[in-house]
Amino acid sequence: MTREELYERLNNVFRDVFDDSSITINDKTTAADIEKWDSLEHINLIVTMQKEFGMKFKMGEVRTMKNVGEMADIIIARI
Amino acid sequence: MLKAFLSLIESKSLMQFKYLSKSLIDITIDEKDKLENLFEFLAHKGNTIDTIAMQYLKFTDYFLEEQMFFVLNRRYRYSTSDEISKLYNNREFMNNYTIGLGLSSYLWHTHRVLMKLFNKFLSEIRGERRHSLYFEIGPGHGEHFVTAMRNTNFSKYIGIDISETSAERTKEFIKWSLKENRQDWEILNKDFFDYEISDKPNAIVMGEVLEHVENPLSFLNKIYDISTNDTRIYISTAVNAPQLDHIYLFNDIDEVKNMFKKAKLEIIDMAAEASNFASIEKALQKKTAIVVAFILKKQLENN
Ligand SMILES: C[S@@+](CC[C@H](N)C(=O)[O-])C[C@H]1O[C@@H](n2cnc3c(N)ncnc32)[C@H](O)[C@@H]1O
Repeated sequence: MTREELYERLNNVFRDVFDDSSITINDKTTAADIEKWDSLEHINLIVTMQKEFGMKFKMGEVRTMKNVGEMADIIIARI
Repeated sequence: MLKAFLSLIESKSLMQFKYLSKSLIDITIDEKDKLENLFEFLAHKGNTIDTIAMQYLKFTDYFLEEQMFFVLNRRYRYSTSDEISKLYNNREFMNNYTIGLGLSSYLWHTHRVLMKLFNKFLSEIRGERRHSLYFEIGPGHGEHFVTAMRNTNFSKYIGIDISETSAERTKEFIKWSLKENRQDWEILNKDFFDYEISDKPNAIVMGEVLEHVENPLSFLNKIYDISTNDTRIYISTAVNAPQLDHIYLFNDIDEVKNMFKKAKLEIIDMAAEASNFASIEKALQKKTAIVVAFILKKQLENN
């Protein structure tokens, strides 16, 4: 999967989890850019991504991932 | 100290800060005062605001980890007391946990909703009789116990907690919060099951204990046995709320209500609040956490 293809699918996950079709993410997107992205919604986001891509994040990663770029790197390395 | 605490949380975890900011939207002045009292107590025990923030974040890390486990497995990680007794002997875990849980009583809107019902319960029972007893099972951090001592007039207050750390912590919190040297209370480090109570209590309080035990019905049966027809009971618990030391899973609110029915306890009033301000229906459907509290009394024999 190319990074572009990954981002297309990631974008759908974000729109779905945060119930907001106007979201467009990029490498630098953080919780500061998406209003509903708080610690509880973060869990929904991670679980939905794991299902979408058939992979697992490590707990340490779940806690420390700072932006969407870091998430994308982990997903690409693991699928 | 709340301001300083929040700005530290903001610098260390933006997502947690966003959660707290939303959660604190409707905090009252009285609740803020109680939170400040707790911060001051923790500072008096030698914690800096930095360590308090770190301990709170550790607590939320445990919480998030269990949340993930629950979403993936639809069960709590542990189901026996033996498994969690290891946790209770882990000092670092217990320290972070007690501080986090104590703060969450006022930081989290879910816990504030329960506290409101608890205050209503207290205002209805007050207790002015010469021989009257307030009895609390599992005071933990002591927040309910101190609130009861401040706002009611029972002649005696007894709290019983199986964990030595919690019993000690409650004692310290009482001494620190009620500066006057009161002699009308006792905190015992005992298992509720092994405890023979000499007087029947006028009020029984058991906050967030049912989900920590293997057989919650047996706790309710014992509460029934030690109650009179006039005893008023406050019990809170949690539904679909994973935490490392939660071992009994209530899948919905009706399961809790049915257990009260089995124990012949009648519901007088109740409150329920879902996490992140979700509606109860949505939370039940999505299996996200709901906290519930009830005011109860013994069901009369012929009912
Ligand atoms: C989560 S804390 C509850 C603290 C507080 N009551 C509240 O509502 O937030 C549960 C407490 O129940 C105590 N506990 C658990 N089993 C018990 C038992 N069999 N007898 C007495 N206390 C018990 C634990 O030690 C712990 O302090």
